[in-house]
Amino acid sequence: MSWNCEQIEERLSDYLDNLLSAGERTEFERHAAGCARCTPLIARVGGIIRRVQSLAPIEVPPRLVPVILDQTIGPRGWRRWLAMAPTLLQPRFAMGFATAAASLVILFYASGLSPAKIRKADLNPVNIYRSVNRQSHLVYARGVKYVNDMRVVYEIQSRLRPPESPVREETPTPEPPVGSPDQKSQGAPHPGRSSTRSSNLYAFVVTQTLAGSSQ
Amino acid sequence: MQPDAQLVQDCLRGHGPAWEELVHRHSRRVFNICYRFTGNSTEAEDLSQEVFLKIYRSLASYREVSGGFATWLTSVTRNLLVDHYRRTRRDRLTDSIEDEMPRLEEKHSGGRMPDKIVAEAQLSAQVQQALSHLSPELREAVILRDLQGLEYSEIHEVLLVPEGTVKSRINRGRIELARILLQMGVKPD
Repeated sequence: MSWNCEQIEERLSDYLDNLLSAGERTEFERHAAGCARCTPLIARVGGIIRRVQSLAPIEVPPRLVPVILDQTIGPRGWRRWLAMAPTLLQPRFAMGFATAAASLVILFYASGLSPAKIRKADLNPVNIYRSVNRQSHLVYARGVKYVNDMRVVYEIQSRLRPPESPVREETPTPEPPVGSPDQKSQGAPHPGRSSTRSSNLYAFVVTQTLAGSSQ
Repeated sequence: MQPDAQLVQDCLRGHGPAWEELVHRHSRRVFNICYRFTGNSTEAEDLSQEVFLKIYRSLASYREVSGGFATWLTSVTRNLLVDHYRRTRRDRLTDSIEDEMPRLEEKHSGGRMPDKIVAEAQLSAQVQQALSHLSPELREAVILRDLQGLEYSEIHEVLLVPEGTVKSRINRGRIELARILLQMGVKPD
């Protein structure tokens, strides 16, 4: 039994989308070939729908995606930081940040500041400059004092050390008597020389101390 | 490219970039369905935002076995559009639905667009106008099939009506759309 016009119209989309079986397709085309009503219908609907299908999608307005993201996962700045979080938490970066933070804390406390004592005025550039200037002078003065102190210590040490070749030239050491364990004469200086050296040393220390205090 | 289902799992674990990727991947589809259904760019934007907000809140209810993410997204979009259509029916009866033609004419007069682009923009506007004359049932069927390129089975999952009904709606929608476009002077391919 051949198809009528109503059947053709009902199955038109199946024909256009190739959903008819081989037998149905044959019947469809047989009717369409000889029908003055159906042939133009198939051509027009097929032609128009192909043009509709060829339309490109409409471009999304540029603001749409940012607005959606803002509404769902928050503002953009936060999103960027949250996206970087996994990278920043990698051990190599995390260790680097921790070391830098520890260094800053050490520097902060070493510079004589205390978080509890910081006032708003301390953040003024002029005050920061003054503070840094004062701290640097203090550090310099402490350094100078330290070097002077060390010099005194070395002077004392060098004077306490037994003289070597000149002493040996003046008083050649006699041969120690055999069997007498006179270890003192080797390690300690001569009694007479020792007293002279002590008085010299005392005078030197007093002089240096006076000089240090006058500075 | 990561599959949608994997991105959904990443989203549920709180991975923001996975959600960004999903939005970038599917915003065009959602916006186009909304725009073709409503015929209004501002409304389509608002509805697209609403769709993604709803999707974001109900991601946990997505099951991969119940169909692809795109089908689920399309289904949510379609349901919102139907709600929106019912909500605004009274307003629409008093408004003009031909709001797209002036925009096309502005583009045409102001630019140096090649003829092909002008012709496509004009056809797009005419299709939009013709779609607005279809009933919502036929309109959504034609949009999903011919403008979104969904398979019959996918449309059946989105609309939740028997496949026979899907076929019938697509067929009637196409014949009606072609009739209107021919009346508007559109030439067949």
